[in-house]
Amino acid sequence: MSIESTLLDIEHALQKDLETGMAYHELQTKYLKKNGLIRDLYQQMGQLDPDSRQALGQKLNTLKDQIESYGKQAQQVSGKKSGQAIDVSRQPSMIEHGALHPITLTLNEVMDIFEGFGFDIVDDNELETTEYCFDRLRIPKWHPARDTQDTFYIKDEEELILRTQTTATQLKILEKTEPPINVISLGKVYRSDEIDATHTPVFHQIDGFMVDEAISLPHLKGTLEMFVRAFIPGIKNIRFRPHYFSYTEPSLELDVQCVLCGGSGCKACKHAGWIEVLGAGMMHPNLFVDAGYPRDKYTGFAFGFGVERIVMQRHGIEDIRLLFANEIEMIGQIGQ
Amino acid sequence: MQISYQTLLEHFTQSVSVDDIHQALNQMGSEVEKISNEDDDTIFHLEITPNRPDLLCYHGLAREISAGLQQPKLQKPLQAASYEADSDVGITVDLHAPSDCPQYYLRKIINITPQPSPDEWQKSLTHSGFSVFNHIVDIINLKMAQFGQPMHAIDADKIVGNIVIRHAKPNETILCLDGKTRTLCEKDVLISDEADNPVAIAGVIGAKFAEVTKETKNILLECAYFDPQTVRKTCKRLNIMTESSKRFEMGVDPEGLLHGLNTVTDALLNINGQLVGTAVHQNYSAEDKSVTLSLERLQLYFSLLPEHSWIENSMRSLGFEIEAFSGTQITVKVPSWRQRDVKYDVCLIEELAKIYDYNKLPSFPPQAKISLRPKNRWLQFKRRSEDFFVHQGFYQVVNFGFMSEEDLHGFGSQKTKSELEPVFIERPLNKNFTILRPTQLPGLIKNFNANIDRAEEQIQLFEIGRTFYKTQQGTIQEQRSISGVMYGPHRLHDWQQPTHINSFYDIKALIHAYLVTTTRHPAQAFRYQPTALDFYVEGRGSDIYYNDQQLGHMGQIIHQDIHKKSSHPVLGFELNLDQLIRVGNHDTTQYVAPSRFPSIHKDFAFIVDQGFASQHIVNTIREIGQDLVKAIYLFDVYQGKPIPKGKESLAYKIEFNASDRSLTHDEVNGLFEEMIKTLTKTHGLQLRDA
Repeated sequence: MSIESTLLDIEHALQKDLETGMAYHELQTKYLKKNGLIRDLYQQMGQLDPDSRQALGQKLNTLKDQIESYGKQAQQVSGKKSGQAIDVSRQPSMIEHGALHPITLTLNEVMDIFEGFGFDIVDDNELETTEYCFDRLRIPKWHPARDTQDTFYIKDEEELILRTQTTATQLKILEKTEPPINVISLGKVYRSDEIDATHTPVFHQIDGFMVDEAISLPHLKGTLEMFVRAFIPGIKNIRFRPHYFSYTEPSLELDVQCVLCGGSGCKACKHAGWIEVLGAGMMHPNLFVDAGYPRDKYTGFAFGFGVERIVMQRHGIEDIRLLFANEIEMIGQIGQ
Repeated sequence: MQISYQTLLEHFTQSVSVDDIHQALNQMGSEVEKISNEDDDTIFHLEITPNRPDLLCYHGLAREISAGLQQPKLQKPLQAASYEADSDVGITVDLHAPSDCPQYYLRKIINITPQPSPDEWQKSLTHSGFSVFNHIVDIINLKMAQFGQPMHAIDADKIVGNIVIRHAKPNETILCLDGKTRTLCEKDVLISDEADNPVAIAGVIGAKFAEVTKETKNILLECAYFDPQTVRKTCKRLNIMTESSKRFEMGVDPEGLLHGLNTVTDALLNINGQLVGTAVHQNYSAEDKSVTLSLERLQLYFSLLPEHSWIENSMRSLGFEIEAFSGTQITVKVPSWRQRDVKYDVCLIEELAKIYDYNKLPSFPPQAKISLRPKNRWLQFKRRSEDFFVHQGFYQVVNFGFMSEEDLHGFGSQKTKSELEPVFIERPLNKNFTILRPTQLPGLIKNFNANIDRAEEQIQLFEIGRTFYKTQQGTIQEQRSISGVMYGPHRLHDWQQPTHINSFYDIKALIHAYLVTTTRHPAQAFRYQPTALDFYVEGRGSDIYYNDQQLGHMGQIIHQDIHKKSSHPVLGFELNLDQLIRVGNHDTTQYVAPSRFPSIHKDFAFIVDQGFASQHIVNTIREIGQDLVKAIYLFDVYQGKPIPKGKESLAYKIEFNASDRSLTHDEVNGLFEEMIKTLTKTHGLQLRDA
């Protein structure tokens, strides 16, 4: 190999070593000390004609200087005292940080709270049978919720749908688990809604239930209050309102007094002073009978809510479509 | 539903404040969504739950409010004159759909002159959300608002022969009161005359043909019970909802018909007209329905037991009759207007809880019983994955699970056919949502394009979600996937180093690190092979394997849908997370003490054809060096002089080390020479050397 091409290789290698931050003493060993690459070349200079010798000498000196000044810099870093002051306020190289989607942020937070309570978390399939999504939840064949206008059925499959609620998981868990049970199930659900500022055909739901001997309404209230206070900081008042769900009885909804206006009414609470957070109730005894439990041995409560609505309220987002626009700007704003 | 405070007061025996009503309605579960003021009246906007048709009237709400305020005497009892129920009207009702219409009354009133309603009626109607017509229609609406029974007035002189209740003929049309013509089917129930003139769609809307107008002189008043499901299906099919259909769908009080009819008759006759008689079809027989509740169970649900007298009074205030009360259990008779709703003991618990007030019941968390539950490995894995990509500068996106076949074009045909046979939606929302996504990449490309449009320079997105496909056997599979796109500079605006645009090797570095950290297998456990997928630039896409199991693929994407403005390589990947979790290593790692002996480093460079699979070099080094090769670094890739065109130089540094001794130079050199020999001889590679 010619001296020129060796020199090229050495230049190339040195550049890499400097970039990768090789220690100064290692550089000395590799290039300058006995058997070092540069030192070897110095020794071969004798073979060359005077012009080439001078040119090579200059190049080698430049390389040597590079190593030396690198060494000085290194000393400034590791050395004790003096050194040219640098601008510590200067923008550094930026390490890019991404962000979780706002929906994930809320899902994770809810999971963390309930895991803290000792709940198991289930993330079940989005394809579901009509049996678990409707029949077992006491939603009869004629019920509006089952219409093809409201539910996405899978073509050429009689019983298969995209789940309309995460509650579908409840019965499956009841069937294979002996109480006590405390489970949160969450994920995407699908309903055939036209897209507008408050509707999308896909959204997320969180749904939980607890079954044991002697679970009562006060237990339901206590658990939900604990959750809501952990989930929405600064809440003053909580109220429970009777409601109707086909698979719970008694059924209720939980409202919190608007944290922003303190109940006097503002844009965030649509001037109602209260914000509806979730639906809940005592699980209907028929669910337990269907699951094969002895009648009246167990009681339980269940609750659930749509995630997007809560995310929008938390972050002041007025159009649900923004959540699915997936713009870096928005995800970064909320998630970083 | 909207109700007027002033009209509501008429249903109480004494005045009740707006605040008390507001409070009681919320307490009983008829949520007050809004309160507004009109003239000197207050309007409540309520949400009535679908199990409570009895609350779609003032009388029912007054009962509920009285019970909530625990003042049962507040509600004014029903009053109306009674009229002979079955008498000759000179017209017969032919009932051909008895199961859809178990009760039907047709009352004839003659010499009636339609006129405007008094102001106070008009006010009550508008405040209750109704329009104003003439006194006949207005009275019907007023009484429906008050007592919940819908009725319909027919101009008697337009009717030819008898009234016929029958199923519609296929494609039979009817010009309705709202001016629209509707086409019916055999499942719809129609009221017509003998000449087949349509009179009304049963329970839904009347026909223009027999409309009550200024010229009307004689009327037929129809008061019926129509089957809720029949009405509901018709409404759904015709996409119509009326005040009447709303009530029939939920189920009117089967014992309230005659009272409704009589109050309307009373009110009409007070103004003008003469009653002729009433034709009746009555196939309803009142059935006593009882429910028993044990006090032990009530106590379990409440965590306390209210006084017996309170329980009795509460049930009575809602119209339940006490049949028996033993001290350990109570049996009540369910009133006719609650029979579709109240069937179980828990229904009574709900009623009692409402009157007690949910907010006044105690509140405390359940006692914990701890038990060992298996950890949800998937969720742990998911969160680790999310954190990994976020820390690498990626933004998480969430897309619908839908796409169109067109979106799939270019993504569909290449992957093994069986995996990308899409799953079709029976009735998609629109043409963009016809299939369930078999891959997340088309969605990510749309997100990428949207961000290019927003002038983002660096776009790094990932999505974790479900994908769906049909197997060759025809079963539908749901799979968990992670996918992503990466585009633009590695670091944005960095003054310390020159701009580096992300290349295939950057996405490979990322995936590599992700696979190693999530599966806890060593880097060499994963294999990368050129892919056949043609949405990757030819020669720049790779399938990813763990042993023989394909985990996914990655590469530089080329696709017609990619934004024309993109000026750098668009890199993408998709991994099957179910597979990745399965192959993960869950063993507890055993500590290995690091070698106390020095390493020896050796370098060599080979000149290879560009695109040569350098895995061969690495494999050869390992095969020959075995355990003594501690690490292999590709530290330089060089193209250009003096390397010939089409070739490149790959320089490797090999670290030799033994854990039990100092290696000798002879030993290492022997291995090193053998590696060179094998690579030059077997693989025909050219050593770059002097």
